[in-house]
Amino acid sequence: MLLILSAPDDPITHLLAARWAHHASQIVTGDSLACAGWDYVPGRATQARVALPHACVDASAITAVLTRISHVFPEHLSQIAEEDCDYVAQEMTAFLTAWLDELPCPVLNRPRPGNLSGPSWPQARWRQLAASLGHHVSRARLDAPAAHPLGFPAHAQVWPTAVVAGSAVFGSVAPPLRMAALALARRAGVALLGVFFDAHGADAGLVGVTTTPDVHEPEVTDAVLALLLARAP
Amino acid sequence: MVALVWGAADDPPVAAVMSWLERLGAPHLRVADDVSGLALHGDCDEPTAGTLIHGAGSLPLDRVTGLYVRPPDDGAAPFGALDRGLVALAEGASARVFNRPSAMASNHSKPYQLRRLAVLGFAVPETLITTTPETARAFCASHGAVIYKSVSGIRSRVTRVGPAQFERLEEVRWCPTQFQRHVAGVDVRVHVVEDAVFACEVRSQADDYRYPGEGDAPAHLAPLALPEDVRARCLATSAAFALPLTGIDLRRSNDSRWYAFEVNPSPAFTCFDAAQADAIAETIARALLAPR
Repeated sequence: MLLILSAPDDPITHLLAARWAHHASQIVTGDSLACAGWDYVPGRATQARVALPHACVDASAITAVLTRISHVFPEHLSQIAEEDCDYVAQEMTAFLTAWLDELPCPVLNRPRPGNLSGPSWPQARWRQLAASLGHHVSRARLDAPAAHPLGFPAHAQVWPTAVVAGSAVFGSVAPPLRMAALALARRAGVALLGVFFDAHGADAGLVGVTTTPDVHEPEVTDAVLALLLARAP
Repeated sequence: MVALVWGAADDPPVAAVMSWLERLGAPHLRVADDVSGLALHGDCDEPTAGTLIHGAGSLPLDRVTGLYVRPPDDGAAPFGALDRGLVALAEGASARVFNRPSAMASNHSKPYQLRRLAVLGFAVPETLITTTPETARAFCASHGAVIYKSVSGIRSRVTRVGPAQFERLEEVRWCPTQFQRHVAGVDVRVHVVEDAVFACEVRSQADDYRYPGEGDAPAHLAPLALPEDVRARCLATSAAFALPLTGIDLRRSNDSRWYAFEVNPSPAFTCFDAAQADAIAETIARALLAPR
């Protein structure tokens, strides 16, 4: 069973779930966590119980997890009283961080505190890391949400993008930029990474990254699925 | 050689560190929203190449030897450009930083911390996170004395599950809720500042000594010499969490085991023994000025 942890309105998630239906893919949102059936003892992740829309299952039945959100967001909790949404969203995020961190199956990307889909670094740190690897860094910046100092970018970007999925790199940027994206992902220890550049050519500068890249192109979807399946126990 | 302090003037730990920087006659600057005329000029990619503009002039950031990060946590204003610049500086500067924001994030998930504390050799209490009322009831029944508290870093009062709470366990279905077996014993708060360790015993009648109940005597605080192996474990914890300044919540159980509950990345060390708090502030201040 593949779990896709997502915002409820993420069209890419629904597309992936349809393409991966024969792998028993299941979408988990914040609302999925607001119902009886979740049990987790820290240190025993595979013995956890998971409440899915039509059944509760053992976590041992989960073969892989794709995470497409950095946090559970309050606005994604349709069943919670408005005044409680901030608190509940943070509690759900904290629970998922601990559980996904120790789940032994493939988790793309493994959470870190502060980001369910990878390192919780500000964009500046990603650019510093790229520069330390010898890559040209653009003076252009991603527009960061004002409310979040770590500046996770929105998905819809106009920048030329390389998407790293394991050792494969996709996107219409020049090969040196693909190599730069791959090197950055490897140094950061993430299997899935979107890297934005300010142009397509080899001398383009790196603008920023996302740990929840757009993976809707069929070849990218297939590469992500291969990663999820290949490393499954 | 300049120490930067990011925090509010009326925040006791910030005030204590500022006081020591003044006593040491050291150049220092406090930055926060309540300080007017501040601006950060430069490129976030090279934080130490920038300049901090302030009322009395400007400070090239490559002169900063240390940064104490304790921004106000009032949840009010969205982060502005100055804060984003300071986050980038705290994250990327080669100067000594207490603490880097990405390392401080571990406090966002208590069970994430708990599992690592167990790996580091501390005892940890039996813990359950659940949305299932029946599972919560069974956990409470099997452990007798049980507390509940937030899963995330949101400040919450540690509360014993009594008859009133037991009646409300049906409500856990709306939100993952954390339950822990209550460990009887004496609380010990340990502060680590790089290689310095300060331990304070906290004797209290309350389940959460920060919030004594009506009629409870105030918590009794006293410095404590830790057993060498526990001290070493605290230093290892500070290193493992990449938090050179940290407050570790321990409890020495009645059967003499050392339990760990939480690692605080921005500890309010002034809430504990006064003389020890002064020594902690001095240690932080001196470290902020020391070359790396």
